[in-house]
Amino acid sequence: MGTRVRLTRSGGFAGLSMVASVDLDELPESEASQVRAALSQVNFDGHSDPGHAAPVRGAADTYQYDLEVLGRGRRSLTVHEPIADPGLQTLLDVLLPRAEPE
Amino acid sequence: MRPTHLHQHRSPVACIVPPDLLRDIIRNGTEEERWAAADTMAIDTTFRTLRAAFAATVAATKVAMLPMGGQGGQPQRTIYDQKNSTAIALGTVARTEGQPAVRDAAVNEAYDGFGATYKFFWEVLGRNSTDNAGMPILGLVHYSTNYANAFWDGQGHMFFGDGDGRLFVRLTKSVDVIGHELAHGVTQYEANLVYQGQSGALNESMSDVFGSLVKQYAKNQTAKQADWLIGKDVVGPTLKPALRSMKAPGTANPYDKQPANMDKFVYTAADNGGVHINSGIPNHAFYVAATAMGGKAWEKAGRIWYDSLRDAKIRPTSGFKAFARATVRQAQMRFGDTSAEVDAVRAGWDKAKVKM
Repeated sequence: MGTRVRLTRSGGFAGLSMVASVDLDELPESEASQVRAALSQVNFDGHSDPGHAAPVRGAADTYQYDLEVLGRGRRSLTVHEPIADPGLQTLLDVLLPRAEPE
Repeated sequence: MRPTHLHQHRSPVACIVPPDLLRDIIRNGTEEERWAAADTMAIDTTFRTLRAAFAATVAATKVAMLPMGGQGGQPQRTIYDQKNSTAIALGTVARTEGQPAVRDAAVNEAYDGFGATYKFFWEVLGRNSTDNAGMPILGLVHYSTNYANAFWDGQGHMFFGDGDGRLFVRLTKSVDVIGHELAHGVTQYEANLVYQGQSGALNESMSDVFGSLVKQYAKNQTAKQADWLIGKDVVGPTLKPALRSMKAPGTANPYDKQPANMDKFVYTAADNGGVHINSGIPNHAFYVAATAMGGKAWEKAGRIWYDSLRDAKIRPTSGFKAFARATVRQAQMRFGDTSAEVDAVRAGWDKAKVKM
């Protein structure tokens, strides 16, 4: 089974959920390797557990990002901007152009 | 047996522990941890007093620093150009208070929008800026690239993107967006509503209410004349014709999922628990109350909502019900127990199916 990556950007002033869901096997190889490379740089242990992540205290209308990777096992994280993890930022740059409103 | 020594370690600093975490500890912690957490929750009631004392200190400092800061009636605006950077440090100063318009439309829109927002809070509610102590108003425009968002960073800065041309165009183009962001600061200095679940949706609704009122006040519209739409002037093709509707939540655009009443409350992990979704419920209550009262929405309904945001019983974790009760209480105090205004407020929450 291939690796499936699902990124949801929610919140923001609009509160609109934008979802990018890709199966790496179905992507052109150049893009799949781009996603794989970015994914390998993401520090999944360095973030709060989903459901416990919160924006900076007092902040409002910042984006919330939920990332879920299904492959051998499941990995997920929830973060709010500003993004401190450069690996995650690269992944967002690759996936967000594919996101569609939910 | 309750360990008394814990009381000696009471500290206001404990208030920075998120209430959700405290509740977890009360549910799952050891006996000592549970009492300590419960005490911290209790300290929350004194939080308002401490905050007021702190605000007074800050105000005193500001008067010393800024000649105009303590007088009121005069905003202290600075607009920064972030030059499409994602850096959150202040960019290049583009326009300061009193300077004439510059060539950059986003800079002027932010400057004027903050001016209209300051004017609304000062002239209508007697509030001197974000913290009611003359706090400088700092706007950061051209943030990031194709950034379809605007936000309040919790530390006195409002960021605005240029839009992606799809969801939004330039976010400074609409005064209700600018009013919405500054109102997040007002909420932070008052009830400090936690940005999650119902208290978060209430926080969002406050920003839509005051954002909409800033626009109505600038246009001198009655509640009946107003369109009650949020973000009409900044939506791109995807979100046309508007972002949100207080009059008819859920109908502003094809993706609008806002409920208009509690029967349709949305449970979700996205958007901090749907804070921009469920805000439709208190938004609609305000619309119903304001239109029932008639006249200009800021004169009575806006005043009642503002007084309620400052009501001592509204705490950071307060939800719709607590706020609904506060609006009735404030309407009673200002207009009388059996006044038409109290009836209008009740009718609003009734329509939104928020039980008191």
